[in-house]
Amino acid sequence: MTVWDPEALGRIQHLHLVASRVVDGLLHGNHRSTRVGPNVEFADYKEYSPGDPIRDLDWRVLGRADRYVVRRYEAETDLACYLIFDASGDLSTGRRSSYGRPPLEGSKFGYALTLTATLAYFLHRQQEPVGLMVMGGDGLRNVLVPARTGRTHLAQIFGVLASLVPGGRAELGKAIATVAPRVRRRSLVAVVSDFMEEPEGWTSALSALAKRRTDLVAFHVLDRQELTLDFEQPTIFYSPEGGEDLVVDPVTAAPDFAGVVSEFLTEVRGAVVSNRGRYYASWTDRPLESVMRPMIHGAVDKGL
Amino acid sequence: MSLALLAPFALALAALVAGPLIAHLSRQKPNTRMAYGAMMLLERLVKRLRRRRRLREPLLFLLRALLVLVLVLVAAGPQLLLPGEPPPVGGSGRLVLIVDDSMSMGLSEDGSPLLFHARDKALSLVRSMSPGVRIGLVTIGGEAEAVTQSLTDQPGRVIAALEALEPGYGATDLAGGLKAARQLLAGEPGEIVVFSDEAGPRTISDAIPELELLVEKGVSVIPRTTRADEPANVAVAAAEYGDGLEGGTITVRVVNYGPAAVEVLATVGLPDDSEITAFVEVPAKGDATERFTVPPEVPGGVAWVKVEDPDLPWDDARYFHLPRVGADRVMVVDGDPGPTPVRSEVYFLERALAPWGGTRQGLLPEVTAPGGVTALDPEVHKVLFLANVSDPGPMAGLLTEFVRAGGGLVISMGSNVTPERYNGPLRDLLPATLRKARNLVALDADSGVPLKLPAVDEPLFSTFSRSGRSAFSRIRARRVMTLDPYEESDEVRTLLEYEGGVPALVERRVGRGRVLLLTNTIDADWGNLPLQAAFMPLIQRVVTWLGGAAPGGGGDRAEGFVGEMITVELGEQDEEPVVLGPDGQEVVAEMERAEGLRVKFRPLVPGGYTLTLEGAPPVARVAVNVDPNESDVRPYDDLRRVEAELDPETWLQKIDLGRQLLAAAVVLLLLQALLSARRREE
Repeated sequence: MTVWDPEALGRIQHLHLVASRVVDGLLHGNHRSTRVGPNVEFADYKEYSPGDPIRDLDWRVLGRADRYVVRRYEAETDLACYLIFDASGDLSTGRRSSYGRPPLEGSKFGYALTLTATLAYFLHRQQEPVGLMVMGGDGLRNVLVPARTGRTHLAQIFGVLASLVPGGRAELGKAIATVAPRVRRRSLVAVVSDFMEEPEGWTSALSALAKRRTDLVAFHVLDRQELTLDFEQPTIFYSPEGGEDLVVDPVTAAPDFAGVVSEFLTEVRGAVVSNRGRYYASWTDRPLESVMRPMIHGAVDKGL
Repeated sequence: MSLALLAPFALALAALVAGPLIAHLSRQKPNTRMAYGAMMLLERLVKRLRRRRRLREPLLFLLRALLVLVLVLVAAGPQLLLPGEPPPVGGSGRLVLIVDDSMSMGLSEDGSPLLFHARDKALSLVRSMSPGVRIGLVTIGGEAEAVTQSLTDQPGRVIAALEALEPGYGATDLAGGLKAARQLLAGEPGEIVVFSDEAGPRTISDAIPELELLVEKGVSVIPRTTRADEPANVAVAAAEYGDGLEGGTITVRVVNYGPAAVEVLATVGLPDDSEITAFVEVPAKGDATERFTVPPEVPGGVAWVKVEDPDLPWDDARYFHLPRVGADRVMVVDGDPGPTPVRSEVYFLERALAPWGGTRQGLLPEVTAPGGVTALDPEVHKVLFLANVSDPGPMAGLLTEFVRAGGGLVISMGSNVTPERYNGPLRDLLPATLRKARNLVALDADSGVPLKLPAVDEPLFSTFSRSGRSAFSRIRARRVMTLDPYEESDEVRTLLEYEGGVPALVERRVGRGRVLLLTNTIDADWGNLPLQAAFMPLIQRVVTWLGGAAPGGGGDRAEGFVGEMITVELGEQDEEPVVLGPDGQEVVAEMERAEGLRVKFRPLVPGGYTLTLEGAPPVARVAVNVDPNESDVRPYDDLRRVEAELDPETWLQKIDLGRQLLAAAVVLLLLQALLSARRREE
């Protein structure tokens, strides 16, 4: 990654704009943090931000210094949040996909990237330490950005995201296993992926994560054209991650394929929910707000 | 059913089956190639479709191969040869109806016998015949009979004969019926329509030679089978008397030809009109055996067993011979009772007849004075001993009647016997004229004239072995009744004689009985016969031998079936007996004399028939039953099938399969196209 890559800089700016618009819109008028921890032991102060509970405002500081600060407790400090981002080759396909660096809008990869950036921005706004784990990727592979706070750190995450080119295999189980030792109890781990790996490969890692009582959130990135086989003529399909070609007539295979897709979505959702995670189907043709809102409000996606 | 090909060479086209195989293996590939992010799901889909295709593709190949084969068959011109419809009736102008009026046609179906159903079919056939068709009628119940002596062009006669038909007791004589029909057709082609239930294990198979003969003559035999939907019948298949407790056992076998097990009431009727009943459980399509104990004393005769069966009542009874059960009664007329029993003329005889006293088995002597002879009953008594009776004159007629009816008479001498009183009245019975009593030695002498040993080939002495004859060697006579010279013949024979040629025991046959004249006394006054070891077995044997043709269950026994000619051989018999049916009415019988009298008659109903002489017990009894084969109402073979086999040219139906196979090819084509399209889609 070149920091001065003009395309990357443009993408960073775009990501920042989108993320801040989405987050600000979602947090407008919301005074309760989604991350309420038990009061164990006073640790330090932090600037008040929308969503923080009003009761945690230190009124004395407000009276003396006219500053809005919130008292923080030991249980809420150092809760490293990790975003696990799938940059595997499969993400490079889908509607308006292109080789190289897919556009941020309209493509499956771009959608996932923007979603991850928005999540990072949201957590930054919550003054949570945010880390990033990238699965797969072409050139820049399997990047791990440790969880920290601060604008500089957020810029670094945005920089990494903006520089990513999809490629290779995700190896979801391995990525989750890498992150798991770095998170503490009640830490948030958000996985943004198309989960195009056989569940046997990653459900055990997910279970290990669940045992640590982390707050697991799964954003299942889905492309409607791909999953409805919305193509017109018999085609040789191949995977960017390698493997055999398959000759399929999309028109006639669509009814059977719908069954396969439905089973797959049920499998993934089941695996996440059974490990006390929150599952959100993230169709690329839906606005980011509609995906983020239930996550921020702690609701669980009940369906597609 | 078989298949014939008009163009068998077309089968070479079967090589075209390789076509589908090549088509099956060829497949087109698309040109477009595209990166796809959900290949994992696509692979899952392909796996699923492969599983489905694994079933579908062999089916597709099979359909295509089948299609080619069917087309090849169409080219070969296939014809299906089926047992077809019978030839048209009346086409030749000569028609014979064979109507089965046997017992099995009495089986009830829809409330009336099968015969009536068959008769209705026959009537409607006759009425449907165009004028000019000459028709004949043959019935095959019992013995086949041509009802019309020739073919007639007056259907009214045939209709009248058909309407008069009633089911009988006879067995099915299909072979005879076909022969009679052939004779009616007089060697000309024609049609024979058979109205029968075709029941019985041998009905069809016995008729095959006659069927073959008819096919040769160009005659079509067309069955119009009339059967019950579910034939059922219970019948008595066998009844037999044998040893057992008390008076013996009657073993009865009941057969159930129906599809369901039944419990029937079986009743045994004895000749004395007493009855024994029992319930018999008979399994479906099986049989059961039941045993009935006979009372200690029962007169002999024809007994019967009956079961209750609503389906076919004609064969519910079976008649069989029951011998007289109980002791054989022997009348002994004591002509010299004496002051004490020991001094009685018949003291030794009575003990020889019943060594262990009177019992229910063996012999039961009834000792009487001459006046008691009036109690002589040919139905009860087997043998009469006349021992030293002074005047047999008053009883001569009774004795003659008794002997002629089959009874045995033994006349022994003594001091009371005078030739004058015997020779006249008993001239029809005595084997020889009595001359006078004569001393062979002094009466008080210790010994006398010895008896010659008997010939063991003589039936009377056949029970004595060669060594056993020695028991006769010590018999001596001191005095005998001498006889006038007589000629040995079949009627009169000397059975025993003393040394010197003096007759000791002479036999005469009279009617159905025999008379034995003992020239000595039956006690020890004139000799030592009763004191010898041979006496008792000799007396027992004499009674058995004489009683062989005695009344009381004796006489000839014969058996036969309803409808068939029954012949009873009576041997030498002067008088011609009368045949009486079960209802006591006289039955028409033929008498033939050839080495004895032969009586022939044809019974029309089952039951006990008797051949009697006036005033005498029956000389023979005949148990007449229905043919057990007729009780089996199940069909064993199919006349239609047999006739179609024998005359395939007339019967086989040829169906051209070209159109059907072409239609099948179209269906196969559509099916394979549909399946092929599905395969391509996947």
